[in-house]
Amino acid sequence: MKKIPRHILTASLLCVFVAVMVVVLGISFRSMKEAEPIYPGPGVTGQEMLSKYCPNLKGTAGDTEIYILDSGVPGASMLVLGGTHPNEPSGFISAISLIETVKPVSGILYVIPRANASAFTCNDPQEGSPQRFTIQTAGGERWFRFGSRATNPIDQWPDSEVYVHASSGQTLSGSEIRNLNRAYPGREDGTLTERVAYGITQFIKQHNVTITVDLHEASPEYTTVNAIVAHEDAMDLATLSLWELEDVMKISVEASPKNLHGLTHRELGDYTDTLALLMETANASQGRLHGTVSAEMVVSGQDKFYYRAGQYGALTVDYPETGIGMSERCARHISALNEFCKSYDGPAGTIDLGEMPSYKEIITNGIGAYLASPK
Amino acid sequence: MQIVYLIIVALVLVLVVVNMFKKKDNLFFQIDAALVMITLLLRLLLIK
Repeated sequence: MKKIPRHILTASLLCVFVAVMVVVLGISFRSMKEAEPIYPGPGVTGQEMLSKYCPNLKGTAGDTEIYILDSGVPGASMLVLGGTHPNEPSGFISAISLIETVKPVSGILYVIPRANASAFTCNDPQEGSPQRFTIQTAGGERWFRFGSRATNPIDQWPDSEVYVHASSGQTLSGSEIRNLNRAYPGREDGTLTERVAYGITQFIKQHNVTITVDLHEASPEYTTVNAIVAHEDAMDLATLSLWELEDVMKISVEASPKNLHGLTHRELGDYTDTLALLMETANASQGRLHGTVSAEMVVSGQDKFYYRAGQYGALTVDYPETGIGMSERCARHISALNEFCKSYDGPAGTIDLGEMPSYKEIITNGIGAYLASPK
Repeated sequence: MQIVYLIIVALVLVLVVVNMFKKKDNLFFQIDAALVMITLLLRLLLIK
């Protein structure tokens, strides 16, 4: 019998190794497509899919749920966008908390918790970030995905060398073509990301949404952090809310730059009648100075390198040794959303979210106390 | 556009496999090739 050459044998063995690795990794990567459960609370009166407002999204990874919390009492409306960037989890968790616990008294609350649903199905490359993190609730532990800043390249690929924003002609780095918050107002027949943006813009137009708030997180060294970014039409609302919010937290208001296109606080304000706002909290897992990004670190916000950077004055926020935890970050978002509703005094009437936990209550009890128990 | 890129990925994958089987007395080259194959296959199968 002819002896098999050694290099053929090793190549064959390596092919078997490749096959095993592809199966193991494939199972792991594909598991990100399983969405974490959301348990609609007593305030939820309806649910729609975004493809209703952009039929080109139907059956794609970009189609996503819209939760409707209609008080039944005429008034103003607010749309909350969570998960525009799924690696900024406090916006997503705050949105889920609203769906599961809020019961509006007047007006309508709309919540899109996974604005960029595709971006929840992958991680950012070379970041070593966890696929999931957990939060303890009254009835047990719940898991949530820690996704990517941008649409999954499997769903929208390849990136162009330069991203040209369709309606303004602004040019950005090619990878920004998959960033939902650079795609507004979107295009009906554009890329998947542009179609998601278009669907959200159309939803706001068709429902004449009074206030739109996009929830984000930023690195502790970034200049726009612990801030409300407001379109000029929403500046009065942001400033009024700031007066109240400053009693409990350090927060600032920044004007939406007129020459920075594709972002919610610019384009939704320009292309619709909504009062467009964006919120940023400080998340250590976002920045460039952190150590290992573990599931625990995503929730605790604790990182010794960021603490040291804070000691050197390199950060734009106060960063305690205990970190800036998920509960505090969600408390900022939820308190501000409630304050926007209280401060709104326009022709659309009022919007009252009903009984809401205070900033201090959320921090004291933990955000898990304002999420449903796993079923 | 995506199909063009998938064809390119498939072509590179075939070349890597052919080279891996041709390369004699260089185990490290073959290991390198195997690691490259994993990423190419994951993209070709539209998994990652």
